[in-house]
Amino acid sequence: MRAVPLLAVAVALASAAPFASAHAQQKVLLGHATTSTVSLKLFAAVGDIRVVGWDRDSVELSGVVPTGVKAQLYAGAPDEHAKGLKMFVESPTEQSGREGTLVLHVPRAARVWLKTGSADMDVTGVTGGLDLNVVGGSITVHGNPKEVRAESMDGNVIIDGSPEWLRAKTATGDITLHGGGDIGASTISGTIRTNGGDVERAKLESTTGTLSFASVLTRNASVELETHSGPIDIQLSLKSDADVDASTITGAIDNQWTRTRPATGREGRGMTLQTSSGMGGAHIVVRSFKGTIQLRTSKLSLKGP
Amino acid sequence: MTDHLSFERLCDLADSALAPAAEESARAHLRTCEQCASRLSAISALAASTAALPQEIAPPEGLWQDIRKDLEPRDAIRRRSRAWPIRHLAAAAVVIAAASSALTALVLRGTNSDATTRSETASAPTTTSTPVQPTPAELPARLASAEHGFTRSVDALQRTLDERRDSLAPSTIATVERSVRIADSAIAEAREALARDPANHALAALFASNYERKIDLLRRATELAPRT
Repeated sequence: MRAVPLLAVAVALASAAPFASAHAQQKVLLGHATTSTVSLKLFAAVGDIRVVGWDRDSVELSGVVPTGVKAQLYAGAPDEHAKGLKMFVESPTEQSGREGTLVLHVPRAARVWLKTGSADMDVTGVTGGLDLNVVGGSITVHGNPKEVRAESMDGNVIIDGSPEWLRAKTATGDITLHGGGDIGASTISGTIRTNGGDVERAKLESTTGTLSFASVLTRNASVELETHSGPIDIQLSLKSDADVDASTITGAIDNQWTRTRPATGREGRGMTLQTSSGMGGAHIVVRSFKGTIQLRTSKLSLKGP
Repeated sequence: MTDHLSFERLCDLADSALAPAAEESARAHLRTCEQCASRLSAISALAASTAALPQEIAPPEGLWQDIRKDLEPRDAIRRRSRAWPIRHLAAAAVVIAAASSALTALVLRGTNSDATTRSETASAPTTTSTPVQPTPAELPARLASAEHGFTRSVDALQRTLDERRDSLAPSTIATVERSVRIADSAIAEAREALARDPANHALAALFASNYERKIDLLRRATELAPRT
């Protein structure tokens, strides 16, 4: 691998007035001219970080961090609009890496790779791609990026827009989504929810976490929900043209969406349900080992072509 | 940043293919460079997990079409990832994930083919460092073989994680271990049910999914930054 720090441009670390924090703090200001679709990689040990898409072909990282924290920027070509940037905000101690606040401005169509430890991430106004990774903090994405990959261990992930492509993963954190073209969400024990929005294709899975699906199905949508023991709650409109194929190994199925009654499963254990509404078209597959599956009626309607 | 070990050199190191002097030089660098040490761990884990793959896996019909469909939306992110140093780690993770997917296919095939054939060995292989315990119940040979592949992948990742344990925050380790225990409990439960009903395709899929989620959890834990 070749990783050459070609140039750090416009680096300004200045002492700031004393803050309320136990640690002295300093200001950070890094910036560079870029293309409108710059790929940016930022590793930041910081308390909170906000990413904002703006209508300029440049990147700017600003904020306040504890004294001793180092901020660096690496660009491929110092005198040109960079196509790729790397930025590092490194903390000398674990504690100082949990303090401070940064704001990263990027061109709207930028592709942003952001990795932090315990920071809370908040992204708004980015229409390009996001690859967000945090351990203990939360991830919140506003707007409609084209692609989002968001991973947290025990923090929550909230995507309130409808990306074309979305993958979200947690261990214990909750995931809240608002539809999208192609959605994948996975957790061990967190809750996964889709609240509103349109869904073309989705796979939601958990080990023990709750799965709650309450989005609008596009025509010919394909949705798969799978859990070991988490409860599954599906809300569908009576007007939905959808087929549902649900089965459990030992869990119960409660169908309040149509009049079809679930049947007893293999060897007298578990339950199965095949039911549909309207002309069919959208297809929902639900699999559970022992979690209860519930289908309910919602006021959401199937989206037209 | 300029003197990181190249991917090729790390691969040679993992394969013990370097000359003694070159190996000593590389290992001296690893002692002071956590980034390269991490990459070497990932490469070693990858080698272990690929070694664990079954010798013969015939992909189900239509699998490639599904893979292609899955890959297309990721083209852009993949292109970007190639430009970043973490690409090797990502590649390792992708291969491990692909390996677990292949094993899932094997599990699902197993429910259709020799579901009634019992393994000659009474207990399925289990991880050395995770709390999945062997159960008295037997799995059909093909399912047992697939599970062996899963547990080999788990072992490789668990070893990498153990090596990095001191660089992770205690709260992170606690979260990972708690989640692993949950995954192990689900695996054990599904396994026991599958041993009783080996022809149950849906059950086999749930069993494989539990392993996939555990492997993905461990893979992500091995990629965490120091002190996180």
